[in-house]
Amino acid sequence: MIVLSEKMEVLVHCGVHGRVAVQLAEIAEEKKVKLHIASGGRQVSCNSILELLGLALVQGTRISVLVRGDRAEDALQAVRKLLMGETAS
Amino acid sequence: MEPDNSTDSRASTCEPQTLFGIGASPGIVVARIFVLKKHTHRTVWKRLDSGQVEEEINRFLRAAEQAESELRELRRTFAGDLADALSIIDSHILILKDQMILERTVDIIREKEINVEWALDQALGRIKKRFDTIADPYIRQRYVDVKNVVDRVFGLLSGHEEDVLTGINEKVIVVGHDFSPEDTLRMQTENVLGFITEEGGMTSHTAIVARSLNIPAVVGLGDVTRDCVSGDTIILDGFFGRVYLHPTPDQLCQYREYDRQHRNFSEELALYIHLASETLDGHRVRLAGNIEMRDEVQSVLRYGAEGIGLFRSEFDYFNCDQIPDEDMLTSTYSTLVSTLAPMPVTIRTLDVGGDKFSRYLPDSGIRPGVERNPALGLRSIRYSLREPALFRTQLRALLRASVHGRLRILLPMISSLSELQHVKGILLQVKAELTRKQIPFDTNVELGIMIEVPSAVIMADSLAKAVDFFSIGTNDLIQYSLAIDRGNQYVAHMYEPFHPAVLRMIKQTVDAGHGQGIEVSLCGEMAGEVVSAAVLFGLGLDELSMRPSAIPHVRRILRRSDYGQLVELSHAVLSCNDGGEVRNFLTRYLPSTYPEEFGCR
Repeated sequence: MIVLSEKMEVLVHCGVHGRVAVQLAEIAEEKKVKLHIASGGRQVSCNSILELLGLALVQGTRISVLVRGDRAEDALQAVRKLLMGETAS
Repeated sequence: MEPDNSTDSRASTCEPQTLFGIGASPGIVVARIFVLKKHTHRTVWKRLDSGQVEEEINRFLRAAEQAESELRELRRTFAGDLADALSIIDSHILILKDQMILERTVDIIREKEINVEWALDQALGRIKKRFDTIADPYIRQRYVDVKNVVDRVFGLLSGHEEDVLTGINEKVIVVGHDFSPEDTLRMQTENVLGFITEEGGMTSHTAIVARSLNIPAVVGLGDVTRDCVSGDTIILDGFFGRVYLHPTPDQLCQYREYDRQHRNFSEELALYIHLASETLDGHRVRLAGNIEMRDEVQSVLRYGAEGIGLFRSEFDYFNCDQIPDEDMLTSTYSTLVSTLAPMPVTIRTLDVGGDKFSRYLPDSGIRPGVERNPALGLRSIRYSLREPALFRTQLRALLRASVHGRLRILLPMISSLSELQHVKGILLQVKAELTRKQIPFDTNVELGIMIEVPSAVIMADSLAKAVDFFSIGTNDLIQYSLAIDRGNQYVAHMYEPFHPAVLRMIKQTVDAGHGQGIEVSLCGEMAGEVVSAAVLFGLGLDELSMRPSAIPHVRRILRRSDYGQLVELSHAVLSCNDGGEVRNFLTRYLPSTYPEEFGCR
């Protein structure tokens, strides 16, 4: 079990809205990790799309990402890619 | 929601009435309407005996399960190219299974020993409270999705027939308070010609689905269900967001004609893909495409573009796990240039910074969020000059690709002559280096600059002596000259492409370029708008570059114009005092000159 945490900034256009939230949940499921995001003093699990939307992660929000699982590095990389807006979206 | 078939005496006595909403999906429909009155779920409170709790929880889980299988079934039915619509269903499935709904409702039932409906309503209330505090309107609006999903479960719990569309057995326009994206999706297979809702906006999921299904729709119409009854014939104009209730026979006749014309028109536009881009009196303007990925080159050809007027080169830098090397860039640029040859391909050098950044790029010590004012900060050519190694790699790749056809190098955001001279110095060094290594390149490769900073407009006559072409980037030029950030909701309404200041700057740039015998093109969003096309032609631009799909329509306008008249039009708008005046003028001028495009309304 690997535990990783990284601070990053939400750069994806329009922030974490419906589609991005779905993709975060998919990353957690696909890589079989526990994925948490903390912002503004609240930490939520990416399994809950509603908790995640509730964080109101607009573009420019600074967040901490916490990943637990054997493929944590893999998952963190995917999250980075998604939130830093580096995929064609 | 349930069909409302009650007869209403108002219907026959009502005067013609025009309602203004938001055109969420384009198209015109004249048809009878089918009104769905909002069905309110009255939530009753019921205390359970301890023995009933588990059964009540099971009742809830069964309803949730059924809702999920319905969503999955719908997803299967529509698997295909409706990516936007499908991702919305995916998010609804996740919402349905969310702990804030599922677990919390079960917890409430167990703790308070009350019925599901009440518990679910409580859970929903807490979610609403959370969403209400979100400042960002786009994320806040997602509460509508939560409500859609929960309403579905409520419907199943109450045993109501949830299919809002049953009972429709003729071609109709459906009118309702609001539809879930799922309901909208199912309208495709039903007899639904269009729909109207009281709620919603351009970015509501319902609107997105309607557009991807090509169902004309007007949303945000207030209390429309109060004012009409099933069976009324109405006119729905999805282009302008208008609905005509109780239309006069004349209006009906007129709109049926518009509808027919519009259908013919779409077919006719396809003919313009292969025609020359010239006015009735033979004045030529090159119509080119804006693209950002090499895969898009086919669409440029498909819509009959005469070149690529703007290739945004950022994609290669943002979409791999490292900085692209020279060979990779050369391959992208060569593909474009050789595919389009002998037509010109204009490639803009890296335009990052501001809101666009990639973690793989050298950060120059500056990361997003650090600059207080990124729009005025280290971006675009300024960044390239600060990272010379990166910039030289791109220039080498561009030069190497130049042997395959006609490549034009475009420098973004130049704001002074010395900055331009600096770049030209680097370009000379890179050329010398290639010559030394005996790597072939086109020694006469054209070099141009974006005109998107007001200082470049004012100094255009002097800059024109140092380059081979100008390309006006209206998006940034408008932002910088009107001091408006279009992404800022408080001032976005003041972003006005028809501001005479903007039009005069375009004119000044064209005159300065032509004074030195160089070509001037324009590649902002404005280029692809049919409303601005005639004005831009009249200002004397040599090339308009736009999203490829807009080309046939813009070409049609050009081919129906007389250049002398276009120039007169440009003089008229240049002498207007503000953007509103320009728009008023165009509202009068365009319909009489281009009746097929603007004559309808």
